[in-house]
Amino acid sequence: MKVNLSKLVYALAFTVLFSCSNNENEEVIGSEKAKVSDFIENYANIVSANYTDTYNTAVEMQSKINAFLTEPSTAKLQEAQNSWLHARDFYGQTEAYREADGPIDNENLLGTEGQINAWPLDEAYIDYVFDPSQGGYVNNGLIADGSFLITKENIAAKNEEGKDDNISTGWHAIEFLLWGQDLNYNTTTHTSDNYSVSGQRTYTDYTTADHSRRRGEYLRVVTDLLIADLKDLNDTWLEGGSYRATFEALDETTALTNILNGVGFISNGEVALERLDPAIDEGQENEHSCFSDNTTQDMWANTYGLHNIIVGSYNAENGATVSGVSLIDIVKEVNESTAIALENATKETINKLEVLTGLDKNFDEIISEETLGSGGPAGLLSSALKAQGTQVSEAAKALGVSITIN
Amino acid sequence: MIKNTFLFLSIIFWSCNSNKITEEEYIDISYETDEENLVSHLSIKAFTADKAFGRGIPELSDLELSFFGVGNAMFDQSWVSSPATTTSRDGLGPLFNARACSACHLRDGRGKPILTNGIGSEGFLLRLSSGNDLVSGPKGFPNYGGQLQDDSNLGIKNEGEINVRFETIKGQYPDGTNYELRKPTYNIKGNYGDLSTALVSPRIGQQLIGLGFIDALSESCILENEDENDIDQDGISGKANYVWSVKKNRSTIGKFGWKANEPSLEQQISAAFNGDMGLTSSTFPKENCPEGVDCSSLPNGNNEGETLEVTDTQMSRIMTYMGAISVPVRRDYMKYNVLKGKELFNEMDCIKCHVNNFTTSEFELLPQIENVVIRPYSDFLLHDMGDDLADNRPEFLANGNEWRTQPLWGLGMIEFVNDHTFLLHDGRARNIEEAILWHGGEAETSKNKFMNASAEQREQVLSFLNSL
Repeated sequence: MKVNLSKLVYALAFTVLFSCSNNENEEVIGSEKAKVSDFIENYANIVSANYTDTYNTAVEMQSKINAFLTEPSTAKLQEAQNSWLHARDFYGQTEAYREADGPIDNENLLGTEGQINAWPLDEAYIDYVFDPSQGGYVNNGLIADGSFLITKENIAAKNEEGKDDNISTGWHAIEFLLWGQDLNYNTTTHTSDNYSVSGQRTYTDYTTADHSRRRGEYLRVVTDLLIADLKDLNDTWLEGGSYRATFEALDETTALTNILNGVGFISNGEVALERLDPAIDEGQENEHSCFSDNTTQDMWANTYGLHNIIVGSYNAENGATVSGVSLIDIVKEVNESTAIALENATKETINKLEVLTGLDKNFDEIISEETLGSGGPAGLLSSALKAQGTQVSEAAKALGVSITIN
Repeated sequence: MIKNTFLFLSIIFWSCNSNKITEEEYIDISYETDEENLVSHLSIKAFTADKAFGRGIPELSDLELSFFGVGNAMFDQSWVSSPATTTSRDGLGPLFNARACSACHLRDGRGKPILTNGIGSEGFLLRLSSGNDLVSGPKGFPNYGGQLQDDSNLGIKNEGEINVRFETIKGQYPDGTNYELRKPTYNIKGNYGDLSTALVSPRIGQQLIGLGFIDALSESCILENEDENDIDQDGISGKANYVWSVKKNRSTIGKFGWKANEPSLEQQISAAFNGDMGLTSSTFPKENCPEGVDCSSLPNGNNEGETLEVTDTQMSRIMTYMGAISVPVRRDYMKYNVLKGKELFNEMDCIKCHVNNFTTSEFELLPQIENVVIRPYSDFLLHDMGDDLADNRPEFLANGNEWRTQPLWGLGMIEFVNDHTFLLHDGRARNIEEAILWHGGEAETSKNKFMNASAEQREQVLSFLNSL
């Protein structure tokens, strides 16, 4: 009996060995097969191209901001604002690479996410704000505090000091300094329901207004800091860059877990849960780009950033396409129905995004018209992003890795 | 079964080879299945410092997810005084300690003690009282109430300023290694009258992981570890606090706070809104009003048709958020030193109070959390921790020497999330080792065992604690 059993085990082991090598042979012959390693490589290519576009468009923004600061005017302020809006389209897509143990938010690497894109921002921490309890504008914050020396190091040290919305750096600090508070002020009725206007900062904040010199200095320095951070991200992901090498050396399972954890979490935990639902439930204070009213476009960029990885393709700023093996492709190899469900979920997300962007309304107006669970366009996009996150989690399971998306 | 066989073989191996088993074998014997998952299948993996203490349990419904997201936003953002352009975040004050929940629990993590006088705290406050009633709890100190609010709205005087002075205490391990502890003394300059006779208890904001699981523990499962009269004569008693539940209108077992002084997650949160931020809610609908000020004449943050600043709708969001925050999976749990440390932690009887085996009961807020095995490393009971740690301020059944056993889950991640390692009720310990050395009273024997261990063993205990 004993002998028979071990013979059986032996035979079984032999069979396993045999079938393994058989599979390998098939793989060599049928080169059509979508390989996980190719998906990982394509991911790195997309990440790198996206960070390069972000860096380049941000440098363009820096030159427009410096031109404005040299010679402030309404036209130059407008140009600086436009360059901010353009660069945001590329940065927004890179958010899909967060929560993936990568340089953007791994504190042992660069860990600069909070310095680059933290929000919501307590405006009074940086500059003057409108305060009805005191009957007008109140000068405060780091700009009005003459004892605060404006350097990159100092404003970086102040970021997220004390509480989560003490934000002194990054995209939204620059946004606030270019647009100012969006009070939605209706000049006819004197109420706060004129959603078609954004922040109304004028160029005179940089010429004749109180603290104009320090404000200009702050804007210049905070922009320099963002550019430096984006350069580090771009460099480290470039082919031959420090993190690119680390990433390429990761074993497949780790790389796959990291990538999918990011895509799943950002879809569900970040964009749906932090950017859409709180805004729907509680209004404009929770709007991502509330000064410029660019939030609808932020949703476009965030959603496409996720979509790019799922479908394996990124449209670069110069019109080129970076593409290769997609998440859908590799899931199809292991489970056809999971792949189809993922494909449907991501299509549905894009459909809901198009409804939102097609409204041609500012985000603060859209959310003023809906409530949580009322089935409005922002709520439907949120639900679609959650479902997409769940499908990414299912895809991960099919590929033999486990992620958490909440 | 396989494991048992292996254990058996290892024992034979061990006895034949006089005390030599390899590290690999030790790891295999010592590791217990699932020990890294502190809230079983609902544990989460921490990817970033920003989210390590802020990720929700898996298995939340669409609507629960929405509430979680909204609660998270409420938690992070500042509240402002009324009137204001905002409608959902106004009503702060008149007196307060913090403008946002995150001001004391940055990234859902731990607050910091006062380190420099004259600079506002980041999660430190003083509780005040003039006495204690076993049923209704501490009696507010005249003019000040139950807590010193060191900040206020424009036109209102804050209650005072806190200055701290640290005294260095030098000590030595039996092996000759020196150590230093620092003991704080607080000096309060009160703006509403003399405070010299007040009972004062300093408190640090705690990390907010796994709170739903604690809320879901039944009274009976906490009482199982109780041994108030030390019948088993191990020098460790363990006593439940019973505190006033506003919603139930009777005394119930205390679970939250440094002295187990709050009965439920909802009352804990409502008390923080009211005491720390000056916000009213259905549990505490009265504004915390300074002496000599008519608060009904001040602007409040109620929206039209509402009578509370934190509405029931908002409360439901923050409850889902706080209740659903999971606990990160442990790190390095398969390493030799960590497993050795675990063995020592058990041998030194630390485990007698820092209990790692509970199962949750019924939980209406999030039924997913019901019937889950959890490893909080706390018994949620009060213990006499010795005179050196005492605040001498009784609170319900807790006397001035007693503190609730702190849950140790997430301990090793505090530095990652909050960039500091200040521990204990007032943050006096600068790291885990100092926190152990401050243990006295019922924990004196365990502390002595730690002190008598070799330097290598002490490191192993710390490695284990850092893996939690």
